[in-house]
Amino acid sequence: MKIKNKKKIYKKIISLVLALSVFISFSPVTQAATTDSKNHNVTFSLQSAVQLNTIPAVSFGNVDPSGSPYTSAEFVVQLKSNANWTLKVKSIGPDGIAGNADDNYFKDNNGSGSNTITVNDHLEWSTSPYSAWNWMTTTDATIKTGTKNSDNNWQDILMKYRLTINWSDQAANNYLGVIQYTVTTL
Amino acid sequence: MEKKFLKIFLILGIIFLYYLLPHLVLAQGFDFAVVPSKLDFELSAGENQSRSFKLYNKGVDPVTLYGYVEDYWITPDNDFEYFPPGTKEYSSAKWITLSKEKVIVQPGQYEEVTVTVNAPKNIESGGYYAVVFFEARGQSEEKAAAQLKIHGRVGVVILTTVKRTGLEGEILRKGEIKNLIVKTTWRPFIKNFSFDIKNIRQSLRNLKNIQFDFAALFQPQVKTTTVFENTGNTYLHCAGLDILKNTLTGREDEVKLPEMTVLDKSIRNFEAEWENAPFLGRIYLKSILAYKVSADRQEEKVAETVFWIIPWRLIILILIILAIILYIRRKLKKKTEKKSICPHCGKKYKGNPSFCPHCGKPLSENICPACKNPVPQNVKFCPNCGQKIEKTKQKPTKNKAKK
Repeated sequence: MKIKNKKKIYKKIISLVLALSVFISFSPVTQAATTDSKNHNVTFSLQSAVQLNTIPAVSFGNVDPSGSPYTSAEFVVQLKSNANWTLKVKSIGPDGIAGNADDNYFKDNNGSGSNTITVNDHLEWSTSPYSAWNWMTTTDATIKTGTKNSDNNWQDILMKYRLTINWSDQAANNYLGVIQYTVTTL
Repeated sequence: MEKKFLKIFLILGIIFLYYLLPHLVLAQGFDFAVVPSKLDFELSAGENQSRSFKLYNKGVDPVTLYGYVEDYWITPDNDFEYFPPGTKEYSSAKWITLSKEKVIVQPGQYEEVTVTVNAPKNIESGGYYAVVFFEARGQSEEKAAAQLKIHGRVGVVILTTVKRTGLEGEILRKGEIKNLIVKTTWRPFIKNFSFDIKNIRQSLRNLKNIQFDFAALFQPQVKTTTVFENTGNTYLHCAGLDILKNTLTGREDEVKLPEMTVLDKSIRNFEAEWENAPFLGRIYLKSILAYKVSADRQEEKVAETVFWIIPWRLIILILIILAIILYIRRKLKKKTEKKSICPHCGKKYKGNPSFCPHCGKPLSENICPACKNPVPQNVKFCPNCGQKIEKTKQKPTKNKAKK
């Protein structure tokens, strides 16, 4: 009888100890005592940025008035921007510096010759197979105004040029003109 | 032995293609980035401040970038215009110096360029502006008979607020919404059809290609323009939103307005498009534009308007269909309606009258037994007194009268 009572008492003590240990291990007091939490502020400044990618030159090869007009292969001007942007184009002349007297000319001998062909009635640009042709001028013409990137991909602007050669244009070698693309964020 | 030579030849060929071919291709284009694309300066008259840009070369060839400064202006329709330095009254181009005007950036690398703004002593307080360009100039080794070289430049807007000490040194950051414009348009719902009066045959042939976009009848394109004027003396960075509520259904949408900088004494149009606009509704529009007045305070400007979206084309289409149905019904009714001839005067009459509208004589031999009035044929009850009419055999009058 005594042994049975003792066993019962032992069982009660063990179960009580177990219950207490479980309670202590899961109690908030224990957690508060063992957890050490700190807040870390994560700060950064996100700067506006623009990335531009285009080909260096467009070649029409050998041209003559009987085969005119000549349409260039399509190429893509690519942009990435985290702000709204505008893309413009203009002719800046064979010296590659805007604001000079020769802005509106192609010049032979790779831009250093004396024979000239005017740009604003010989060269046209277009942004897609279906849009109209626009004469290239020496003032900035807006190609496209766009919004900031929605993902990390490039924003593509399809471009092509058309060159019209007249019978009155002086035959000479290596006519060169320079055009300038400008991107600015709004 | 021959097989071994063939293998060696193949391997050498692959190595040749792998290493040599890329160099045979024309020079690559340029791929560069400028960070940041907008810089703010705030300084006192006579002071100078410096900041730096990073110019990244993301291409595979080294790129040479040329830096220079110009004036600029933005039209209300967000179109940039560039001018030589010092052209504009508010120009800061001549105060700006760049640490390097020509930078060669290696592929995958970046170079820093410092821009310094030196504000003169005797200038009025307010905003002064310029744009710094970094330009890559395309090079091509090909000697073509006609070619275009391409230059690409990225503009970095330099916004400077200069404060002059003294009474006239106040910086005013204020603006107002001048107008709120709503334009509702509808996409064409007939596609692939063009009519040329000179070539009707072709136009009729084109009818085969017609496509109807019925969804366009239910999807209006609602564009809002919030016209904001900067009435202060320096630039404002503005951001905002349109709140559009359909008062018929209670549906409310928010459309973010673009974040833009408005130069002083200028107007800019903040345009937004409401996607998923309802096809019918009375819309309450609230346009909110906010700008910072100081580091810890911003001001909000609000404009409101109410407009209707009415599917006019759908209504017109329904009316046209109804008119066609009514016209066809009327035509059919006219066709089925037989014209009768009076047995007394021989003239035609419509409907089923009791007396001839031309001579006034009774058109029926049927007489109501109760009220003794003539009764039209094929009626069950007398139209005058309601007496039931027994069917009697009688001479048909329709189409048989002879003069």
